[in-house]
Amino acid sequence: MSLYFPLMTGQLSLASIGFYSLGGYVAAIMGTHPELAPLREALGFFMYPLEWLVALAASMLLGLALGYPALRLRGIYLALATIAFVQILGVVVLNLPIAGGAIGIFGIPQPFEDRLAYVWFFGPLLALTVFFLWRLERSGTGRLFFSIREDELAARAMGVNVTGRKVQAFVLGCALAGVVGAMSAPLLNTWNARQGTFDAAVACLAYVLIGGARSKWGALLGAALLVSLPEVLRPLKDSRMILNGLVLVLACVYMPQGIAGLFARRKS
Amino acid sequence: MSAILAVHDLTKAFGGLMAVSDVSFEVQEGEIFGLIGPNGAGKTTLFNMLTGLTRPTAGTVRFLGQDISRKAPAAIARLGMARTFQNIRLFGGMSVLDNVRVPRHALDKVSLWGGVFGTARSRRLERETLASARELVALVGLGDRMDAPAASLPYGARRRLEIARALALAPKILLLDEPAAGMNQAEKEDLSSFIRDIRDRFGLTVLLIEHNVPMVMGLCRSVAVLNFGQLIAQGAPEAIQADPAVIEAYLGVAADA
Repeated sequence: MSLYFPLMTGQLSLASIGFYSLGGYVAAIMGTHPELAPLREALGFFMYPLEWLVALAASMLLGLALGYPALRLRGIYLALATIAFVQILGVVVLNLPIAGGAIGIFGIPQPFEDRLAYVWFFGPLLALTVFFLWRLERSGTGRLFFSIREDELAARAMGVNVTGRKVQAFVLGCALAGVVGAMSAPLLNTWNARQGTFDAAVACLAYVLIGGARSKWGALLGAALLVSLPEVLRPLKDSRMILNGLVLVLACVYMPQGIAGLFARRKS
Repeated sequence: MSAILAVHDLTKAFGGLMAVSDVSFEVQEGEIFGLIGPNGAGKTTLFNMLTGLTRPTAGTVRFLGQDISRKAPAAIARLGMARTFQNIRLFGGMSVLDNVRVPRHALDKVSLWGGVFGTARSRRLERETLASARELVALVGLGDRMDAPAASLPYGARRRLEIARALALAPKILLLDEPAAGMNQAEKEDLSSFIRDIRDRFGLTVLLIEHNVPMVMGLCRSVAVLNFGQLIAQGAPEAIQADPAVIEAYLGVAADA
């Protein structure tokens, strides 16, 4: 869903996975660094919300720094620039001692024993994000975002500060990705450079494409389908990935607006 | 009356092609000013330079006493210059009402957080914007289509909606790029009286590009004629109609066609 924010202004950014990785590193370092041990003891469980806040702030700052130059690019060039950012970030963390280099960071403290219990992290975040988007889409700022998606030139001529609004949307997406990363680090227990790869960025893009790029539900539906599809097809053994791919291709051809687009069409 | 818009030696070269060269004219406050000329004369390029969408190669544009020739389009728009496009550029997927709300939101520089968390200021702005947008939509006769997607409207309605959207900027000057394109005679007459009405009602100055010479002659107090990027005549409509250079430009085109 982090991709949906810049998409509200018509911008395709693949940077989300980089911010997810960044947020995860923030949480991993804050959760394991020896010098922060007293702070962890003092805060107890509240260390986790603090990690989220730091990840949020770090993602927004980096998002701002990346957004201002990058959002002058359009369409495929922005996608390329953001992918380049993801790759650069990957190289940087591989060589940063504090990020544990190629090995990454191990033994990130886990608040819950049961993996399912992490729903207490992600559930409220999802609810908050949906609420935020729901309010945003109905606000003046949301309408300004959409006007840029519909016709950037006309938006400019109507007084819309196009670059500023794109950066706003982009930074929101970065912030969400950063927090998700910070929440994921304890879940996975270990964090390394493999958390932010090109493949993962493309997978996120596929979720949005299949789900629908023009609706906040699109990414959710797409992710649900694409994550579960290989499992559902498991009985087919070796041929399942072929069928999986086939479903994706057919979806692109017959549902250009994604799954969410089908619902929208039925409504109108 | 004073000049609200003063164009001085404005020039745009695309490579070796002089799309607009050394054009100067003044538009007086409150008048309806016509810009005519054959296809490819540089009228739309001139509009794009006035609104900041195209950067002039040389020359200046003074609007309300400020030099705006190097300003960003959004800043110029917020100063009070609104326009429509020759090939209608609405926010197609958005509702009629939302199309008209966008310029107001841009003027107000609405706050993201205010909108999401519903602060008193943003709720007040939202109410005011909604009320004024409804009024403008009703004014152009689309009161019963407020929630329809803009792209679903018929052609004439889309043209009128574009004018409503431009008016939402509360402009001092309204630039209309061929507003009567594709209209029949009766529609053109309606449009003429509509342009006069909004000029009086909102205290506007109107700068109009038009192909339809009779309409321009009936509507405008002064007219400028462009041909091959050059201003070949300007003055009162009667004088323009008698001007040999203008007649030649138009007849020349007619003979080509």
